[in-house]
Amino acid sequence: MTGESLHHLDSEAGSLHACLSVCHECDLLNQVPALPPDRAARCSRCGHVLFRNPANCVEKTLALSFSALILWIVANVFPFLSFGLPGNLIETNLVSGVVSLYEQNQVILAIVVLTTSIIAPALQIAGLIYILAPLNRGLRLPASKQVMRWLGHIKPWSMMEVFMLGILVSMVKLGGMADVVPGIALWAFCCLIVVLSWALSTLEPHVIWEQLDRAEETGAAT
Amino acid sequence: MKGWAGNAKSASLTGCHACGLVCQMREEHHLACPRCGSPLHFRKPQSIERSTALVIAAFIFYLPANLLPITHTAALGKVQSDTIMSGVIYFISHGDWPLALVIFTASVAVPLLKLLILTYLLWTVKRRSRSRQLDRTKLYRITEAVGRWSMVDVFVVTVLVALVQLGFLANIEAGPGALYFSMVVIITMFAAMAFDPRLIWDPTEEDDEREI
Amino acid sequence: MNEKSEPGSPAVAQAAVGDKPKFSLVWVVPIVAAIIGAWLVYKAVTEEGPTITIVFSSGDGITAGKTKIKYRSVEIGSVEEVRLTEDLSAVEVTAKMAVGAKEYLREDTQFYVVRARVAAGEVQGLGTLLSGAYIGMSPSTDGPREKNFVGLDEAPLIEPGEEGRRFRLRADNLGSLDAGVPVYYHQIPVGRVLHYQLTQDGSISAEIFVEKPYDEMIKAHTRFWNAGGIEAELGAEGFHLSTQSLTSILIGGVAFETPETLGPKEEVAEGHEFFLFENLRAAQSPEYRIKNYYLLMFEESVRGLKIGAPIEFLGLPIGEVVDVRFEADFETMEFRVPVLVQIEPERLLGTGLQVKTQTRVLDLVDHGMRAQLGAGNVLTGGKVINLVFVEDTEPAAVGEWGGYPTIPTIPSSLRNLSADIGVIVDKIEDIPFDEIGANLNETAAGISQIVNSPELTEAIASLRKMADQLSDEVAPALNSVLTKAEQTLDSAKKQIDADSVTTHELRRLLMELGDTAQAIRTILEYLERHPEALIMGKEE
Repeated sequence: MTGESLHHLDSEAGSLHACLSVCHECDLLNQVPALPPDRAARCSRCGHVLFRNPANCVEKTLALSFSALILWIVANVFPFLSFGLPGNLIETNLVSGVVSLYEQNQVILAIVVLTTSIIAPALQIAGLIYILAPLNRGLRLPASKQVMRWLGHIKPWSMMEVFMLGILVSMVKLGGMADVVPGIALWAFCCLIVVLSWALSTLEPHVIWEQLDRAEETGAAT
Repeated sequence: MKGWAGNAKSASLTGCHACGLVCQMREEHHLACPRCGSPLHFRKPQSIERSTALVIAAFIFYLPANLLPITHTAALGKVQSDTIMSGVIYFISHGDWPLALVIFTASVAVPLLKLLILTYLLWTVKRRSRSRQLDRTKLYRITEAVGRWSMVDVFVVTVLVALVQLGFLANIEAGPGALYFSMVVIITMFAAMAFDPRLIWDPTEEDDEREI
Repeated sequence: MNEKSEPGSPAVAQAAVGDKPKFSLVWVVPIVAAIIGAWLVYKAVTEEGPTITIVFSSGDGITAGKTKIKYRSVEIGSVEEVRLTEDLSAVEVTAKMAVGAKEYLREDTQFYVVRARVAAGEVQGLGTLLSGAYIGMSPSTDGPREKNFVGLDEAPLIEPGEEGRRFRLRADNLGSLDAGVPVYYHQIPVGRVLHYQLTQDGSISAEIFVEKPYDEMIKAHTRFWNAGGIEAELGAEGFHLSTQSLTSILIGGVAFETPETLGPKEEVAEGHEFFLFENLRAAQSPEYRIKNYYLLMFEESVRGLKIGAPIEFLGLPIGEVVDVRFEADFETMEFRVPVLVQIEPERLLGTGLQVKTQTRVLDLVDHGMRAQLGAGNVLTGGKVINLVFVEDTEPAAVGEWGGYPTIPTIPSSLRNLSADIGVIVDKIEDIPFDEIGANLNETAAGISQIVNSPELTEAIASLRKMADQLSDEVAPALNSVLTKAEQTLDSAKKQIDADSVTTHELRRLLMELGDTAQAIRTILEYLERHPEALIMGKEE
């Protein structure tokens, strides 16, 4: 049995209209006035951001997601870091660390690192594109809502920026012993971190859910 | 609805944790959000129990994570094992104070603090404390945001292991401590996710109700 | 700006909603990313070098993704995959080469694995102990292009394109020969031994490679010898030390020299076979094929005469002692030492002569040629045999003993010296000092009788006559004896070196003789000046 959703009744196309919202952190019922674009609403009790209304949310996020996709491919294909002495440089890829851990029988550790540094971001990018690309045209692909849910689950496990810090620390640690040469993939990875964070910040789930609903209705109507 | 400054729960309303939809729940059994299909709850199920269990597990793993070595460095046949702390000391002894501080904070201080904060939160919630609720909520926010950065050391080990494979000259292997440490971080993350911060504010509401 | 919401608070006025821009600037980001990505891909594709396969017999040291291919220590390729061939007999290595390497991937290009190795000829690739093995390349620029190669297990000993010629060496023993051992010319390494094998007749046949332009030094009469290690020899001529280089001490080597020759200087073709001499000395001795054996009978001590001791003629070595025996006749108590010598007449008379040497020897013996023991090496007391010409000697002929022709011998000059000294001593002994002394005494007694008589003057006069007699007759005789003794001393000095034991004794004897002679002379001189001393004694 489903509950009625008060929010649903108030929605209209365009900017968010006044509605009720329940704070995720303090459970306070807030009545949120209509938000103009690029404004955010916060819970009156605990200050938690309820939602925002970023302008051009879908398009921006989509553009950034495409960039992230290209960057992700480059980061994985090209050489990442080279280490060693001149004439004896060992080239590694983004995935080399995972492979080495696996070869050392650290299977669980390998899986953890693989997930948090490569797989989770990849799924995020894929999911975003899957939802946003059609949504940009007002369409939606099947199971978009499931995908949207899973995006939320994956989010805490995407730790690329932590990986980046780990790389920096390692470079400092090893730099004294031998040459550490950053490869193209490393730069791509840096950019990927920036771009993906940017994409996630322009993404407002509320807006997406709204639009998904609308697309569903439109789809059902045709 | 003036004067109704209360928890959604008391109004039989809840926000879907996935999509944010405000839903009315007349009964609390196995309800699904109409928009996204996620299960609806007033509060995360068995939040305190699950969170406490996970915090305890994390504490247990914390010991081997710091006592066991996270790297074995073999150079010209000589093997040296390093724990997280010895890595910090290495940086200090080389004059890399900022880096030592970063590693210490991320790998030693943060996980411990996180666990302590969660313990504190769980305890205060269990005691139905009404003091400093806003502060506690903020504490929770910080805990959740910062937790993942403890994984830095695991990634450092990963990169070292990937790069330093020079055969007899030098090669680094991940030690058992690394796995335990990653478990600590992951379990602590799960513990934080299991904890329902709304519980902090519950005593206010229910006491008010009782007063009413 | 944030809006706090209160339940029941008045709604905020709606902000004006502007037109949505047609094209958001944010799309620049993915476009830029796409351009960069495409350019990177393009660069990677065009900079990709060819992929080749190399088949090795072992994958030892070759790691997929890690092992590099290097030429002159520059990385030009990298191993991607290492796989066993289908029949499990070899290892197939797939490698990606740099773009520039395309030119050099020809049929003749060779690949080989460089692992740390200490082997004959060099210590190779120690760096690989630290970095792991690598694959070396010997490129060639001619021939059809090739993508599949069969790798060698060791670095080829000749780089393709290295110019020079190969020759063969035949040796009785392997000595220090081994693949990779250097070949020296005047102590410069100019080539190396490629490989060797045992031939059917038990000798060793080796193939060597000599670089240009040193191969032009090699002619038909070039001598090759085994130059490894340190050559030290202690022979009749003294102590002799030679070596080619530090490497050759450790690992061995082959050296060659093309001696000056009056004979023809022929060129040689590639593959010509040379004989490998055991050492430098063997190489320097020309090959003599004619060997004649003679027997020398000595009746004196042959102490110090060893087998192999040289036999010389006018100071030139013409052969060596082959055997020394002993012969005794216990009835007559005569003992003799037959010595068998080998004479190579070619040394004196040139190579390729006819067998006329026997008659020549006969002629020489007729002319007074004799064999005589002489001092050889002072350090060891070794002896040599000299063929010398002796004047005024008893005529002798070439005889025969034990199947060998004999050359007559004469006692060694050392023996002569002691004979001479014996003569001197005899002569001195013959001087009637006693008589002279007795006479003098008598005269002195007589003088005391006639001291106050005119007969004293007579006596003095006759004394004077006696003194004259002494200085005229005896003294010169003594002088000549002394002179001869001096001469003999000189000649003895020439023959005897200062340090041998015999010499010491001889010297002592001679010194004593000298002293004696000197003393006698002093007396005589004094007597000449003071003949009255005979009667009155020497004034103190």
